Amino acid sequence: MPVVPREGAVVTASVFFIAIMLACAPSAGAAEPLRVLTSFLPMEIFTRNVVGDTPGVVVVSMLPASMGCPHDYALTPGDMRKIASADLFVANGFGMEDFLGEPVRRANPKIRIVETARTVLPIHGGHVHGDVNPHTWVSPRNAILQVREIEKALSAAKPLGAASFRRNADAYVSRLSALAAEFDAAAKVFRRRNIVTFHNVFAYLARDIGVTVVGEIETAPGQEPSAGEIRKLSRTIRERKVPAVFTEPQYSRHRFPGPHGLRGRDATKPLHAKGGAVGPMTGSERLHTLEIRNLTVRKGGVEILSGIDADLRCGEVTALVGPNGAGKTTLLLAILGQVPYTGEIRFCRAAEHGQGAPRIGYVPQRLPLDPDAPITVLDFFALSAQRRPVFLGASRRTREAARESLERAGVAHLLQSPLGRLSGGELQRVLFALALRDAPDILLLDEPVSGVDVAGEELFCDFLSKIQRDSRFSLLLVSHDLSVVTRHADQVICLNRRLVCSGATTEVLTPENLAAMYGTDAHLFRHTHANGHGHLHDDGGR
Amino acid sequence: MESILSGAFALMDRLLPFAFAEPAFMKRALLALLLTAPAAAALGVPLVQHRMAFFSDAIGHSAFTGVALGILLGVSPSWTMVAFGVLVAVAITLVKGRTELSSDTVIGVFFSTVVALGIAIISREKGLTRNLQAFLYGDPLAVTDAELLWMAALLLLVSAYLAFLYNRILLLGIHEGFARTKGVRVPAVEISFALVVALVVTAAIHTVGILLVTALLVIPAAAARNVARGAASALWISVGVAALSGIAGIVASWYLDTATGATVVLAAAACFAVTALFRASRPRE
Repeated sequence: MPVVPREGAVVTASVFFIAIMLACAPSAGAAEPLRVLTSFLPMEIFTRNVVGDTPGVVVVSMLPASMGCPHDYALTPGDMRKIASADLFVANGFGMEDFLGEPVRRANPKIRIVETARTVLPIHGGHVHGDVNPHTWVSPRNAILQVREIEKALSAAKPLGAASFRRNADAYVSRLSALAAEFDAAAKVFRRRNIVTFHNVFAYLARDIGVTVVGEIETAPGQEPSAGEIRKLSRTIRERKVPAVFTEPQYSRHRFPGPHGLRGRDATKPLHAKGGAVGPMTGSERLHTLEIRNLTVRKGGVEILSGIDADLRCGEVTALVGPNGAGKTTLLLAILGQVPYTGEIRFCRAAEHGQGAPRIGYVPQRLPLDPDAPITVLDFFALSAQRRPVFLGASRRTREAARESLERAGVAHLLQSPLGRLSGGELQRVLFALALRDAPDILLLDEPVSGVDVAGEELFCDFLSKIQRDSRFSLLLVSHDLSVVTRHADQVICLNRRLVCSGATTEVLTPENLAAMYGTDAHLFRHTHANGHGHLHDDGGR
Repeated sequence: MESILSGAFALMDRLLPFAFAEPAFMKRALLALLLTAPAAAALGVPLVQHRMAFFSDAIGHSAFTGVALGILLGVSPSWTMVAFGVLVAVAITLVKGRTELSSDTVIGVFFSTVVALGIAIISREKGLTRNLQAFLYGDPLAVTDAELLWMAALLLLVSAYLAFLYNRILLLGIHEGFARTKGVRVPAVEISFALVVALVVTAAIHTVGILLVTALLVIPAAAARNVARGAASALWISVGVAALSGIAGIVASWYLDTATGATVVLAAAACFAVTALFRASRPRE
């Protein structure tokens, strides 16, 4: 043990003591810090930006950041404790915090409530929150007003910090102004200015940038629209030529009406990253087209798949993900009835699809063709479409159907090309065209974008918007490309010889599930090449 | 029956007023080739698409054992050859569908087993070797009326079969899984195709022999691949090449005094060479 001079220890202790005294000095008389409670994430962000590093202020948030709007929030005992110990409560107001009022006052009669939206010019419109649309903060212009309200309230509660609050608020407001200008500039290029939103979140922003909200999918959050409402909405979208539906990633994306090719290029993409792959509009309830129960496939005494339960829902895009050798293709083959299995695969058909066995379209991962095969694209269509042997020529009906579906896939010029000489992307388009021609109930795609160029991936997106339009069939796609999965799939089935997880895309693709599937070292990362996909990489390094 | 054949011969006399076509045996040989070669060539197109050249070779060689069995049992070897060929074809197809082994491995096993059995039989019966010559090298000049009628019936059968199933066979040749989703009943198509190939192979053995019978299926189809642009032209070019090399081979063998079957195959090979040159001279798109 080293010898420490006594005087040294005393000096250290007194310096420490003085430092503490000095730190406390500005708030002398109010030794307690100012406790600011914020209602939900935007309020917390605004408040923290205004407070900055000002000493003697503690900011606490009531709702966890992962929660969206505090629409139906119910107070917990922990929240009541937070309220009881707070001096200032920063809320949005306009009815956003339904839980404000009596319980809060009872928990803490002295609390000062700041309704930051007070100075915003309200938009009225039917909503569960009340008459006034409460989503004011989504517009950066409103955010500026609300930040100024917070600054005012903080300065009143703690005059000593006023200068610091002003400085921080000024800096933050200038950033918000820049953001507002960016929105304005982005909005200038829009040709069509009607949009549909998930619920009325974008109203204030739309007002700022001169876009009209002509419809809402869920007028009350969590309350699914009825068939009649959806029909009305679909008509609105068609008639008013709505180029974009604004979605919110935390809510289900299944029930957007998609009559209009909603991935329009002039749409409002910069505003929201989620352009939404979209489901069917056949009614208010979604039917399963395919139910898999306890499916087990054995090959050579080895269980390739064991105890799989999964559903395909009508008109939805379901992605099948998993590492190499996980049994993805085997599952497709089982659905196609090409491998023996135990368990059950049930096909369910909606009445509108008619009777009989469902048509299953299948686009294999690879179609190994020798380049010399004397088979043209037209022959390929004829082989599965007409009774007349192909050596007697293609019938007129075959020829017309082939030309039409090739046109839909953007490859009409390939009609007479030899099948074996097509590039990977061209062959994919031809296979898609063939699948489209037969109007399948279920379409199985095995690695649709592997080995395909960027144009090929664009086709995939076009193809999905076709699904939106026709909303006829369920799509099951095997993909390694998680960016494709997250952008286009409604549901995900994760396989690794057994079912790892399944459910809505946003809920299922968690780090834990990915680790369970690919091993602990798996992670999602972005390639630097031009199309910038996210790929999953397991130790196999594919 | 006989009247059908004599009618055909009379027609040939009018159409081919040449010295080579005068003897009856030449007319028979020509008729035999015009009946079997186009049928074999038509089957050859999907056969090549299915990569089944080795399969047809195995059937051809199983005929060797079939003939040996016929002679051994005192039955007409023409019919034991057909029966044994069909048996082997169906067996290979069934086994192929039930193992993980690749099809050429399965065929290789059957091929050598069957040929070994044939050789074992012949080695026991010393007098057999001479009778086998006709089957090994083919003897179209000695074809019987019954065989000609059988070949005619077979040509009709093959035509009907291909008219009915050609699309499904070709689709299966492109991709099995894909064909299944288009409603092709794979086992039925595979077995029926193997059966028809076996029938045609055993019939064609009379014209070009066991050793060369695969050539009648593969070479015209290969020549067609060199020049055909689509599925229709591939089949018709293949059939045309077969008919042309049949006639050219017979005429050449008459003037060159060579084995007829071998000369026919050489003529087909010449057609292949011409189409290959044509293809090489054509700019590739």
